[in-house]
Amino acid sequence: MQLTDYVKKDTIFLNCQAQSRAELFSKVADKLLNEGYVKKGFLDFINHREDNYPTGLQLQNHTVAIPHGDPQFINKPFVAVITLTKPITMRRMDDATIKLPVDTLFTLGLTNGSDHLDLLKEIMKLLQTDSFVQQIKNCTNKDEVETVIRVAEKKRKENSDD
Amino acid sequence: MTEKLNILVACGSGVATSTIAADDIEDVCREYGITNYAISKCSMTEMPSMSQNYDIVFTTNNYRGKIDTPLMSVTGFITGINTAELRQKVGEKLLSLTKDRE
Repeated sequence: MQLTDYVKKDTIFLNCQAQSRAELFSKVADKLLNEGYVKKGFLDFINHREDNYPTGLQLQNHTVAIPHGDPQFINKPFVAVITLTKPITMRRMDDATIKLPVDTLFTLGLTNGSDHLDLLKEIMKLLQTDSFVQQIKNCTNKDEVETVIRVAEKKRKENSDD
Repeated sequence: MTEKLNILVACGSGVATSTIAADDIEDVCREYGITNYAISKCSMTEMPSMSQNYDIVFTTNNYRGKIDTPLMSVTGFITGINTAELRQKVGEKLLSLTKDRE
C-alpha cells in the first residue's frame, strides 16, 4: 500500500485560485465528480463536516487542512493534493473559534478498511515532517508532486526499518 | 483485581483522526505500564451519549459542551507538535485514573 497509488494526476490541484473555502471545495469537488472519484453528496458532506468539525491544522511552520469525505460518497479511493496561490480562511481542528490561513490541503477520499487507515497514518506522518509540506508547496507541476511523495515515502520506510 | 479502564477516542467522523490518536494512546499505555484497558472510537456526534460508559474521553476536535466524564484534547497527536508533553499529560492522567480505581 503506497500513498503514490492514491495521489493521481487528476487528484493533484496546484496553484488553485479561490476566495473562500466554499469556492475551493466546489471547484475541486466538481472535478472529482467528473473524474468519477466521488458521488454527488460529497461536496455537501465535506462542507457540512468542515462547518461542524474543522480540519485546519497549525503545524510547526505550516498551516494545512485535511478535509475528509465519508466512505458513502466515495467511488474510487483517492488523496487530493491542493495548493493555493493565496491562502483561504479555515478553522482549527482543536479550536473552531480560531481562524487559520490555509494554503495547502490534503483531501482524503477513503473507503473503510485497515489499508486506508494505514494510508491515513502515512499521510499524517508525512505532514508532521516540515520539509515535506514545504516541498509540496514548492511544486510547480504534477510530476514534481508525485516525485516528492515517492521520495518522502521511501525515506520514511527506510527510516522505520532501522 | 481492578476493573478495566475504558477509554473513548472521538473525532469528527469516528474513523480518521481518532484512529491516529488511539494508536498514540495505546503507545502511551505501553510506556506507562497500563495494560488493563480497552479503547473504543466514535464520532463527535456520538461522543456525549457514549461518554457515560467510559472513564475518560480523548478528542481530536474541541468540544464545547459539558460531559461528566473527564475529557482531554489530543490534537497534538495529529499535528505532531509538543507530542512529548502531550504523551506525558495523557500518561499521567491515565495512571491517576487507574490508581483511583484500585
